[in-house]
Amino acid sequence: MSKSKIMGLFAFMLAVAVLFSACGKTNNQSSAPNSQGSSTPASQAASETPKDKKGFHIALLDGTNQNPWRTQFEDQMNQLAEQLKKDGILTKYDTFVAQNDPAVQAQQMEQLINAGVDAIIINPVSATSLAPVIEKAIAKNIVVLGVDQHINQPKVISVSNDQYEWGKIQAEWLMKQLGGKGNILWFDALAGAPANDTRSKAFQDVLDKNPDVKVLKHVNADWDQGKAKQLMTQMLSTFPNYDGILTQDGQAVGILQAIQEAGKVLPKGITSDEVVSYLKIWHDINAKDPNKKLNAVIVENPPGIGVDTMWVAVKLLQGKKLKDNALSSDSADPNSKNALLIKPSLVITNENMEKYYEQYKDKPDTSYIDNILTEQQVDAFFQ
Amino acid sequence: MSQVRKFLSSAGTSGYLLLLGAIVINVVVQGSSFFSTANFTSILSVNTPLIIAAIAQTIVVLNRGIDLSVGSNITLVNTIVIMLSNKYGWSIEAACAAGLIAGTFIGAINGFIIAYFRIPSLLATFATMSVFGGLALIVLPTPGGSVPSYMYLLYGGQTLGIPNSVFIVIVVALIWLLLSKYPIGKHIRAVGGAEKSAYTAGISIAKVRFIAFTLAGTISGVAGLCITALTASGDPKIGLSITLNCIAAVILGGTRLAGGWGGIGGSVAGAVFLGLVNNIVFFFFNNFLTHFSGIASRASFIQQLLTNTIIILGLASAVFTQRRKKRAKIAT
Repeated sequence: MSKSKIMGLFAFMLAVAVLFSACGKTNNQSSAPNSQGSSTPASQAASETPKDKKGFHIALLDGTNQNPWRTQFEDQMNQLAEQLKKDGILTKYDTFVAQNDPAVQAQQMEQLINAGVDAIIINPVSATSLAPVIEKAIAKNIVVLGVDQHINQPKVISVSNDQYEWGKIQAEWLMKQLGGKGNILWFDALAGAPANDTRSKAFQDVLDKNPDVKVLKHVNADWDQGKAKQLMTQMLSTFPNYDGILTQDGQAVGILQAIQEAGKVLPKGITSDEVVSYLKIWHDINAKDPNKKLNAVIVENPPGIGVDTMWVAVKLLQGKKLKDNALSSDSADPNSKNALLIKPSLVITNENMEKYYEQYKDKPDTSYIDNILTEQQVDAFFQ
Repeated sequence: MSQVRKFLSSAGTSGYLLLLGAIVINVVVQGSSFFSTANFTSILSVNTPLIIAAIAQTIVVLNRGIDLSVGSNITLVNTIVIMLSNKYGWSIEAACAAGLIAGTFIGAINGFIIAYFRIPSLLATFATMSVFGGLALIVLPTPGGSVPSYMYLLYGGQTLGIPNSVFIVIVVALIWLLLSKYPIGKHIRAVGGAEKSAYTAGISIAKVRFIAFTLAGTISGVAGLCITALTASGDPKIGLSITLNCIAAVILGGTRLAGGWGGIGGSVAGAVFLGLVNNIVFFFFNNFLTHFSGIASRASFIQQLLTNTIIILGLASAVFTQRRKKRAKIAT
């Protein structure tokens, strides 16, 4: 009795195995010589001077895909990869997701090295834990780049949006709206997360220069609309005399909802949320009463950073060298000069809001205001 | 034939069969490179922390408990080792010894609360999980630090074609197998299987429970040292994903969550199975699905779906064979 069922289970698994092998057969013929072919010449080409400027194999290791920002980030990279494949610059591009498990990411990276990849772009689960695997990859002349989040490794260049600048631009904008005087509510995001800490520092630096602006309350809303809404509802009764709201993204929509549901007046200024639903709410408020416009600002934190990074990877594989002044230090890793920080250039205020509303009004609420560097703009980083 | 029957009715059967199935599928999707030393070393060194955590979890589960703080224990040990060796200039050996003591101490605290205050282990370790996780953030607020290169080269290397990390697993497994021959090993099982009978037989339930959790703490400490050697750095969130994975490994390995029945062999097989699932999905995409652009553009979602579906099927089949075995046991 017992044996037959276990044997049945085993037989089922064998059947699955056979099924997989049957599926694989047809493609195997094309993939097997391909993988063999790419592994040896790639390592040779990399160790000598890179002669061919085409036919690269690039992989993206994404730590998670559990939020819309990452989805947009992956989608755009896929689109560019398709285009680069048509041009023959890429032969192979794959995305692997680690479900926030640093061990899985390390394993994926090990296997990519064994498979003979030319460049690996990593959005890391942990800023440090890949160090030994990265060393292995660099020893094999594989180009390793960090994207979006900084990797603490002197030899690895991380391409990310300049979060300090992101915070500084809008904190300064808010100070200007208040005329350097007034009371503000300050919403930070998740304490301990690198992006949060860098932005928070930028906010603090600007506030230090504006001693007449008083922070009534400083809270953490963890990039969570619901939590921001709840906190704002509480604060509306404790601090009814606030003038402006300084907040990180992912929270402003919740804050506005709290204000609207309580029927209170809008703040004199509120800072950025790059999600399209914010742009829509902003438009609706302005359309309802043109005399009582929402005074807001959006500073880009584009998912397009992935596409920028892919261009950087391609250029590096083609043998180009980055300019010395293109690199700076990330605040999380001040001792090495290994960060390629892309400064935000797209800023939306009431002056140009309608234009961007027209551009984004058909996009889903959860997608992000985006801006991608052109190939020429990326070229400007190189010698 | 009786040998086969004996094997099939042993606790770890489901784990071994799942592992066998995973190996077959993995060879099919990966091809001959599966048999290379580099591949074995990659898979095993990366998954050794999970394998050892699964051994620790098995001991607690055999004792009819569950330890949700394994991941936090591993994280805290990792941060303590890095902090002592980087900030206070301790030698890495001394820091590792301190880490191991810390792991044991964490286990002892868990054991004390559970055995002597009689708080269910699920609740107690759910609470200590946050406490130790928070302590790790105090010890090392941001990722950083490093270990001497010989430590991770040794850990990631191989001797006579066998990955060095495997020897650590063997030593830990041998210690438990040795303990199983002594009364304390039998008592841990007995208390888990039939607490009242064990009590009437004169076994001190509280003492045995305390020892089981302390032992699990020490072994989790070893897992913490392994993850430190693997990542060569400290990160206050490094162990988060291990907790649930090691419980999954224990179930996959056929150990009964209600205690008393099972063994570490199955759990080790279960943990390796989980590692292989990631490997299978990797190569399935890298070698086959990459040619279909429609699938490739949704790769990360399909990967998650596939990984978790395989794990659910594995868990279901493990639970299924376990139930059947229990019924057969009652019948005879």
